Amino acid sequence: MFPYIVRRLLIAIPVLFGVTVFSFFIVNLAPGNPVEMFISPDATQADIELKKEALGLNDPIYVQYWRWLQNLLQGDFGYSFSTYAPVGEMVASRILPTLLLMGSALLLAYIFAIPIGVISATRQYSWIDYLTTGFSFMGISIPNFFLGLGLIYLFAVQWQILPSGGMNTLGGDGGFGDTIMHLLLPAFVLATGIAGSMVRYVRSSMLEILGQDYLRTARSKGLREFLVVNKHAFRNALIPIITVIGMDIPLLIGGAVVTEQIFQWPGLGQLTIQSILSRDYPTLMAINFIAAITVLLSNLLADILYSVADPRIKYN
Amino acid sequence: MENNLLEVDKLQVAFRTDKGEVVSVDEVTFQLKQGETIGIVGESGCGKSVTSLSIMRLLGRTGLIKKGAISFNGRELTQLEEAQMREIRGNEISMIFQEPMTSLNPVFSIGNQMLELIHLHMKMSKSEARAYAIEMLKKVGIPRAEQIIDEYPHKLSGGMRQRVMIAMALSCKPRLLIADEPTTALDVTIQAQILELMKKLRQESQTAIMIISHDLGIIAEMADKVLVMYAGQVVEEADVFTLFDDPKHPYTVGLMESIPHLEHDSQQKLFSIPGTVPHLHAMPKGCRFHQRCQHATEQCVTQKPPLLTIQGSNGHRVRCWLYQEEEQVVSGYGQNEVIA
Repeated sequence: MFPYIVRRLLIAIPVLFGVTVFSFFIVNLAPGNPVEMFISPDATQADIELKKEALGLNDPIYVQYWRWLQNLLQGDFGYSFSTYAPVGEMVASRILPTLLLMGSALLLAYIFAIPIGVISATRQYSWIDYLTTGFSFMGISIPNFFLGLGLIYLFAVQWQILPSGGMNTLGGDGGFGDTIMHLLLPAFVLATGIAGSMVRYVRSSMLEILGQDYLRTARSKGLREFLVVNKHAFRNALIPIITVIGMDIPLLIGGAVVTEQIFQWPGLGQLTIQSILSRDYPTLMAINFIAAITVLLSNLLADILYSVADPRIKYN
Repeated sequence: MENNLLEVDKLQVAFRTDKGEVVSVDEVTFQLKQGETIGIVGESGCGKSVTSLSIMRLLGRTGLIKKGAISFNGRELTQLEEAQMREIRGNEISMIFQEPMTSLNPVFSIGNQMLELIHLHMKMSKSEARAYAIEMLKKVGIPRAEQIIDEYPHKLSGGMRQRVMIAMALSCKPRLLIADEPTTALDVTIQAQILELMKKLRQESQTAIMIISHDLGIIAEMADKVLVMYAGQVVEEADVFTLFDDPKHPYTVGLMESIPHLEHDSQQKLFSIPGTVPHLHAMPKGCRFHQRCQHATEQCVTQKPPLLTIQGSNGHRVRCWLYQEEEQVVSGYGQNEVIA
């Protein structure tokens, strides 16, 4: 197992390199340039040229990339074009809020979706199955911005029981309870979509397993149906579920852009929007780089979990 | 009749389908004593497996016992609560299945699956249970049992897996072992080993065995008495010697003639019963076999034959109008059908 993980990590290096090359060039293809985004309207053309020269934007793209890569290898993400703050620090301050939001959304989604999927499969074609199928399709189909705005209207505007955005109350004590209150709505919005598709995956995966011979064996041993389903069947249904979890994690790093924006959540998603709007290439590149690492790591994590869940899967 | 371990009386089993309820097993009656082996033979879909699963009450969500009684060791299984039934399953009645390759859960080790059963029905400490499981594995002829117990099923061959299934089934010293086509999926040499093993274990433990097969050879080798089933009904019942020496029902005769013999001329065409088993949705009126039977008469087409006991025999029964004159109807068996 250990040599396998090392090998996978080594393979990840060229992949990461490729990802940075692609994203660097694509980011630079975007129309407009950073200087025009933040310079005052009455600046002269000479001022603009001076600024561009200072930022190195007049060099050929491959020179710019080489410079960026050299800095990266020294652990330096550069400075933001718009705030002049070190990108590394900017991104780092956003990671924790994003992880908090993602973690709670995933946890919330899976805590409900997995048991519901199992129940739905064991009672196939019953009213409860139709009900959960209906709700899971709703969860998948309702766009996050729509659900988010709807919930803000109800909970923050009409009933005024939850804050409409942000992570802490301004001027408040910034305590944990306060953060939780701010977390509820965005986490719920993100969780609905994740839960909706997870219910579908768990259900179909369980249905495939429920007809297997070894469950009849388990029942013939005198095992309770609860254990037959939740131990013998569920353990076998885990592989597709792990796959989905492995895909959900990176999706959320970049996928919460809209939700974070709506709820003013100070996470990576919001930073992404801000850096796109200001053509802040160094920040954008850093976020891309983190997203790529997340994808590679969650793939590796899923592959490792496969072999934990199913003894027939061995990596040598 | 009091010392019967298992008495199945006029069992009727139905399944709910989209097209309505379908009766899959009808009027199945038999008895089994301690240490006795009964063979149930018949072609695919005749209700052999359903009969055995209904004794275990494992018919699934769609199956139900409509009529009849199953008395096991003085208890009426059809009336028991699910929790009471669970105490019997794997403990007093255990089962081995046709497909050893898929009958063990691939994600749990052999030991894990055996210990689960042992802990469920026997009071043993962890280390005692493990030692006992290893002992059971050795008993069924598994080499290196101490290592095999920690292996996963995919590391074992089909024959080995069936041995594990047998070891598991016998762990709690059941009074009744139901073997549903235990050797069908195995190759011939392994088949012989498994049958030999079952015979040996039967001698040691006096377990009653219900062996289900479509292979008359296995039935001849293992069983004391035989039920021949056709289209969900018992068509003939006899002790194994009588059945093979003097089969009565045209279906049984047909089955016997369909066995290939080594000494037969290679040019000779193997006998086969014409036609196919009637569909459950469209059971013929009268005798269920009449469409395929060369002796069928007008009576066979219209009237259901009862299970007739052949006079002077030791419990040789046959469901066929051909024997109505020379034999008498024993009260309690199908009497009402004749009137109907």
